[in-house]
Amino acid sequence: MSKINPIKLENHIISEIKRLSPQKKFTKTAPLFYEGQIPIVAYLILEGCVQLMKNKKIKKILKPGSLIGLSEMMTNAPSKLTAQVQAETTLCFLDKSTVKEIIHHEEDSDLTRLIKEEVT
Amino acid sequence: MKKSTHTSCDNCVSRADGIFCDLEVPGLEEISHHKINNTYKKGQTLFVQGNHPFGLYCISKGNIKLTKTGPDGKETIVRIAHGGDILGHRSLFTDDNYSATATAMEDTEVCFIDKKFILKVIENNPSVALNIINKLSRDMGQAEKKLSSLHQKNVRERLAELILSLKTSHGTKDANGRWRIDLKLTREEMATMIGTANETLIRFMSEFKEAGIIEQEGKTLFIIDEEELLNWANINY
Repeated sequence: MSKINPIKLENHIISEIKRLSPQKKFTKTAPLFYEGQIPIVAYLILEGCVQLMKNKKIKKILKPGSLIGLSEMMTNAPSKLTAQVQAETTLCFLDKSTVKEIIHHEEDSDLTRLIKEEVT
Repeated sequence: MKKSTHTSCDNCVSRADGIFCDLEVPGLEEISHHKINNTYKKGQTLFVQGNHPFGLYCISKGNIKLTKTGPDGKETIVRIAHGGDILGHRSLFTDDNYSATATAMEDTEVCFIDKKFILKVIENNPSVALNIINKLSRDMGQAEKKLSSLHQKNVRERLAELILSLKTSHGTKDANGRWRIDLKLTREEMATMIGTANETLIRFMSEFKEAGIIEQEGKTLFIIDEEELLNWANINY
């Protein structure tokens, strides 16, 4: 199982992800994925925070600029932690198809390199 | 890093009548390799009302309740999905957020396919689109039936109708010839499904039991007299 290692992104990579994927604001606290599950999309925090938890105890609070779940989603690796988005948090999402498109079609960029590093 | 092994769509319970039933093995294998297969424990949520939809959920095992929370904070069960059902298909064609919350009623196995991928599958295989339209039409029919039932029927009829509908979707016949509905719904949940108060539901459940129509062992329901239940439901079932 994966420990979920969030990747702290630089601003120009965040802008690139924002260009490629939708941004949504969560008005209520909601689970993103549970311990033992594979994240169904990768999440980039733009505003607010996401809590990483184990046995209902908070292990880490992720702040804007953190990307989670990418390698787990692409390699089908279940997470060791539960991720819960807090109310008033804005996230960007990268689904499997979008990530594959970036790998295969996007020109060589820092985002493409980062994704390739994460999923291989 | 322990990787999860995917379950093939070719072995799925919905293989014969699901939305991908017309696909050949290569098409199914492509989906099998792309999808994400997860287990949700009892009480865990797949998605929350008001949140952004990401794609399609295919239930391979277990039951999932879909609940709507009203402005007063009250939860109403709008549907119970089971193995072979799909969730999130409405959001494939709209940008609307989820209109309900999906919660596992027991340990449930669910596959997820992202929206972009499923739209590509539809583009290449029109039969999938037709099967989704078919599913949407049936959903609409069910919704209309439920609406008219809430307006035109009394609580006794609605309860009888609910038990019959649970029998169709989740019932199994036991060795004694009784229909067993092993959904483990609370009385409160059943009450919200027919739009009545908890106390009223309890009163009518007692009436059904006294009339020898149903039996209850814990939260498991048994239909003893289906014919009488049909009469009480006031429908040609």
